[in-house]
Order: sequence, then C-alpha cells, then structure tokens
Amino acid sequence: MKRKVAIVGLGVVSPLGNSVPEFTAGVLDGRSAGGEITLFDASKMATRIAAEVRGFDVTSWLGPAGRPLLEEDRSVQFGAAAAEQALVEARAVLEAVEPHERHISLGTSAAYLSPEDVKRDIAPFLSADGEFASLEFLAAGAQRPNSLGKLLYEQMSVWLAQRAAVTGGAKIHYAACAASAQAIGQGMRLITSGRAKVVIAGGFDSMVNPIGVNSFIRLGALTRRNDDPARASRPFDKTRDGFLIGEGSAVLVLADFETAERSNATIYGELAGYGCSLDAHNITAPDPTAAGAVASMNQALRDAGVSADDVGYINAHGTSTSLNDAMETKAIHQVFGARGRLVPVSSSKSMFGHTIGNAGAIELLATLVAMRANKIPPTVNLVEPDKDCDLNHVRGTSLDASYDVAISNSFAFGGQNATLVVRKVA
Amino acid sequence: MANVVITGIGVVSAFGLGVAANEAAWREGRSALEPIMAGADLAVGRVRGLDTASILPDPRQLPTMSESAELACWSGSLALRDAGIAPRSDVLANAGLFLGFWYERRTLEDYLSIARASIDRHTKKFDVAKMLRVGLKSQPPYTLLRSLASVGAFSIQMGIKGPNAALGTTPIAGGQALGAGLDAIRCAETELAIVGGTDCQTDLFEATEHGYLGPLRTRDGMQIGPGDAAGMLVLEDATAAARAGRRAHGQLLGYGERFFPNPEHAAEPSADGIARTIEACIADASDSQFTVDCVLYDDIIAAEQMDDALRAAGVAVPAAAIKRGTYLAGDMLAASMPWMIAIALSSNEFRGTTLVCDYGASGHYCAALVKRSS
Repeated sequence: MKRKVAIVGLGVVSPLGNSVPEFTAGVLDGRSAGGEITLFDASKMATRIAAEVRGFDVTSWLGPAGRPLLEEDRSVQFGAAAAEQALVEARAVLEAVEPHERHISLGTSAAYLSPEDVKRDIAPFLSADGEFASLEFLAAGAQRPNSLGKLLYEQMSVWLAQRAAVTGGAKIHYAACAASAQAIGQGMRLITSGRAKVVIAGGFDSMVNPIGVNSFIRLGALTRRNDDPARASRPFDKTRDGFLIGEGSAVLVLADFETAERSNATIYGELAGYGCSLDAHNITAPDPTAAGAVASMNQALRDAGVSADDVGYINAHGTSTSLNDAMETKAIHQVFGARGRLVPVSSSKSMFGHTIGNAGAIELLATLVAMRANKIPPTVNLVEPDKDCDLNHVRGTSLDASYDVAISNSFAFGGQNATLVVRKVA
Repeated sequence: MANVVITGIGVVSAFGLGVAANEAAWREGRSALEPIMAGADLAVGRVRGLDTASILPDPRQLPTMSESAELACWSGSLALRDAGIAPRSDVLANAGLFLGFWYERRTLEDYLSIARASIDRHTKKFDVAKMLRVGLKSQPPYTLLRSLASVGAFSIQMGIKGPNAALGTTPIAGGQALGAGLDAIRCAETELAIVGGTDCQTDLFEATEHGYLGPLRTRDGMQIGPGDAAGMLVLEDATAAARAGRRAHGQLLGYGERFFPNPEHAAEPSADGIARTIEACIADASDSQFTVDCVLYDDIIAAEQMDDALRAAGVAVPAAAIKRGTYLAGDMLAASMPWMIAIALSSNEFRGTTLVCDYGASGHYCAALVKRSS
C-alpha cells in the first residue's frame, strides 16, 4: 500500500506577508499586493509594477545565523526564512528520524547578475569602445568575490541541510513556473518510495530584478497596466493582459504519516497525489488542446485515489495571460466534465502575482490554509470572465465552503505541467 | 518492484559523438582538453562542429535553445536511436524525461550585450543608470528561455509527454535524474524514461567560476576545468522492454545519494561520504543478487579515498577492476554519471556488475549499480 504523506510544517515569505498567519489573512481577505517596483529603477521599462515582498529582514527570522545570508541572493534569503518557520513547527518530526532519512527538494528558476554585479565583475574588463579583455577577466576569476557563485542556488541547499542536519540528499528543481510543484511532488515520491521519511520541500524565487523583469517583457508575458498595479493581475478576466511578477518563498515539511503521528506533530493536511506531464508543443505557448494539463490533473487524481467528483476546489495556475487561462479552462472542462462549470475555481496569482519558481509551493500553501479554514479564496480583479474562461469563478471575496479535497495546478514554459492534490485530515 | 533495464545509450563529449568514440578515447587515455583561450592556464573540453539543426524534427526551435539543450538533444537522439525508438513515436507519449544540469547555460555575451550598451558617452565607463534606461534593450530575446528550458526543448523535439523533472545546481544532477527516473518506473508512473545530464559550461563566464575550483591539473600543469558533455540513457521496465523486443545493455540495480553539506563550494569529497553513499546504493539494490565486480568513479575522488570508502562499505573489488580517467575531456558535471554508466556498459574493461560513483561540489554524492547483460 502506498505510504501516506503528511504536511507537518509551513513557512512563507510573500507579498501578502512574511508569516503563515499574515499570508492566510491576505489570501482569505482577497488582498492584492501589486504595486510599483521599488527594488530598482524601473521607470523606463514597459512594465513598472510587481508584487514585491515588503518589510523583510532575514536576520529577524534567523538572528545571527541569518547574517551570512545577507550576502546571498534575495531569493535565498526568502527561502531560508520560510524554511526556518517550517522547521520550527516540524522539530519533533525531524528529531524522530535519522539525518540520512531527511531530504531537501526545492524549486526555483533563473538567477541573473544585478547591475551592481555587472559593474563590479564585468564592466572593468570592457573598454570604452566595447572591447572585452577576456584573458584578464579569466585571470580575475580566481580572486573574484563570489558574485557569479551567487547564481548557484547550491547555497540554499547547503545552508538548509546544515540547519536541519540533512544528509539524505538535496535536489533543486528547475522547471520554470512548475519548479516548486515538481519539487513538492518529487519530495512526496521520495517518501512514498521509501527513500526518505521527512522532506523539506517548497520553492524560493525572485525575478524582480532588471534582467529578470526585462526577460519577461521581451517575451510579452507581463501586464502593462502600470497605472493600476493593485488590479493588474486579473486571471480569467476579459481584459487580462499578462501576469504580474511576484516573489517569495513557501516551504512545507513533508513526513510519512506514521512518523508524523508518532511524533504528535500538527498535521496540516495530507499531500495525497501528484501528477506531471509535458506538452511537447511549444517552448512558451501552452498546447491549445490542453492535453498536457489534462494528463497532469488526471494523473494526480489517480495518484490520490480520488475522482474529479471528490474535488471541492481548484487552485488554478491562472496566470492572467490570454493563452494560459483559456487553455486551463479547457483542461478543467475535459477533466471535470459537467462539473467543470460547478467546481469552484480561483487563482491566487490575482493577489500575490506570479512568483515563478515558487508559484507551485505558495499556491499549494494558499490552497491548504483555505481548506483548513473552510473557505475558498477568491480571484480578485475578475470583473468580467472571458468567454473562453467559463468556470465557476470565486470572485472578489472568499466563499464559505467545507471540502475535503483540493488540487493546485502549475503549468510552465517548456510545457512542464504539475498538479498536486491535498486532502483534509480529520 | 520492477526490474529496470537500460535499452538505449547516447553520449557526446569532447571525446566525440557516440558511445564508441567516447569509449575508445577513454580506454586509450587520449586527452581532449584544450586551453579555454590562447594564453590561459585553464583547460576545458569542448564539443565542436555539431550541426544540431540536422537532427531536430523541428529546427525552428533552435534559436531558443541553449547549447546544453542542444547537447541534450544530441545525446537523447542517440539514446533513442540505440533503443530503436523513433522521435515522436507513440511509445514516447507516455515516456518520462528526467534531466539534470549543473546550471543551464548563461553566456558572457548576454551580459556583454547589455554592458556595451550601458557605457556612458562622457565618462566612457559603465553606468548602472544607463543600463536600466538603455542597456537592457540590448538583452538578447531568448536569455530567459535559454536559461530555463532544456527539458521542454528536448520534449518538444522528441514528443515526450510523460512524468518529468529538471534538476539543477549540482554537478550530480545527472545522477539525481537517473534516480528519479528509476523511481518513476519502479512506482509504475511510466514504463520508459529517458534520463541523464547535460552541461555546457565552457563559456568564459561559467568557466571563470568553475574552472578555478578543482585540484586537478593536466600533465603540463594546466588547471582542468569543465567539459561540454551530455549523457542520456533509456530506462525501461524489464518486462515492457522484453515485450517490445528491445535489447537491454544491462540492468540498473540500484541508486543511492547522500549530501554532506560543506559551505566551501570547492570542498573535496570524503571517504566517509562516499562509503555512506555506496551503502545507500547497495541497500537500494537489495532485491537483486549481485557482487560488485568493478568500480568506475569520478576523477575528483582520490584513489586512496575510494579504497577507504569501499573498505568502509564492506565492498571487496579486485584492484585491477577499479577505473577512473574521466577528466580527460574535462569535468563533465551533470553528464558525468550517465557518461560513466555508458562506459561501464560498453567497454570491455568492465564485466558483471559495476559500481559507479560520482561527487559534486558542496558535498553531493551519488552512486549507481549497473549489471551488464551477458
């Protein structure tokens, strides 16, 4: 029989707040975190808005242990703070297993040099006429401060493994917008396969930097509703024009059920199923037939041993882009049949934006806290659903609803799809 | 638990294209290293002259692909051909794809494009404000895609639609992908998975970070840096492979992984770390009957360390059956584990069951047990 997987620790750093209670209140209140970009001067960019994490100081979470992280990428600091929150809750479970039975499985996306990094590490080798002194650049590499190394998220694994005495293994998933959903799903597999008893799983990401934001602008993926940032992310709306970029981290501690119960841990829910698939269609556009998304959802439901009729809420990938939202709608109709117009659906990205590599983790967390509160969180800013997005949207404010099973979708560039199923625990 | 066999192998490295070229170069001890640029004391292994468009069912996607994605397409195509599976055939609609890379390719040229456009006309120096105002407009359009999407790129070309994972940021990511694919078949998520690793880190940007880390040097004293490489394997449920009439090169008996974190990125491996990993691998293979006949391991592991580790793990192997020499084409990073398995399953230097061990910076260890078909 398949081992059951319990969720025993939660942590979050998000545009809605930097703790689980703040995040939960934001999600259930339907608060939008969109605002002007403050992390750098975006005044000349086509998109000048984002959902930024505010008031964050890694040392406030970690004390002196957080100081070395001040040199690290912003996303690593988010990840460390979220992980610390989750580890505190899961201490008893961690102590119940050996270090080699503990694993790490996290997701993130691309990292880029900041303008200051370029100025310090690359520009000195560039002459006024654009010639680059390659040999000198190479020679300087030996002495260079670790700015290029900062792009290696290995530091996250190293820091976390030392903090939680993990020796079983550490994986960083890198499947763009589905990265942390895959990290959590593969973390679940580590437990169900018997390779691990506890997995620290989740995501961390911040692409709210000049090259990150510009990369998405170049692909035409971001909203340009610069004059109305709080209402810019509007998944499924007729007037949607792209996603609002967000940032943050969500970390969950997963444990095999037996260990969790033996440790008297708080069990927030069961991670019941995981499915993933590939579109094999296009590097940026989703497959308009929705076959990949359908396969992902169906596999997750099968894995959880539930039917579509059992699902009480769908936390959609819902990016607020024209192609994704229409494709996801089609997929939901194919999987849920007649219930496709009945099962409540919402997109949390309407509130905290698209946190890219962290999206799957933070949206699973939103799903979980809502299910535990007997609520369905809303899609905010959804005024008039597009004709291609004919679903039972929960709009504006949370809905009271008691349900036992919910799913969370993540669909990425490259056509990598992932779906997670959570089940309420009595 | 399903028996998992290897029915296809594809490798590309500075040694050459295909298993035969790689095995011959490795066996003969030929070096494929070259200076990263004239006057430099850093040696790398470069893959040259591949016409990737010629093997892609849809070459229009090529501009969005990184060089590591191209290498993945080459090695994956070879592995599928070796298994007798045509691109975009029905069997791939449910096949898994698990791919590792140390890091997706980011080229210096991407940053130079931006930096050159950010030089202030008056001061003649790089200006951060100008970069934000003007320089970013020179950013190449596919920077993001080239840094994210090898799995997507390969799946689009080959029509692979099943379970998948993209694993990164450690040089053992190819081994991690192997383990994930093995587990996907064992737990019946799929009957067939293409697994492996790809890395293309010989750009000046990457090499400056990576090249000065390792202790290994060529005979003439050059530091050994990265080597472009990709290695992909077709894993299958043994029953399904037999049903399809596919010949197995060997069986993947087990996989083990451990992490003994070290904040020093250039941390060297320890015998104890290797021993614990070997124990995990052997435990994972406990459903099978085997004795370890040979060992092949990453050059970064010292010979004495491997001896100590084998003793600590209780594995007795004849000294003549312990092999290395993997750095003659540079550090293959995430391609290292699948590449070593390819060698263990194809070279007459190996017989019976081979234990393959890999190590990645910061304290990542992995090991696999492969048994050659008789």
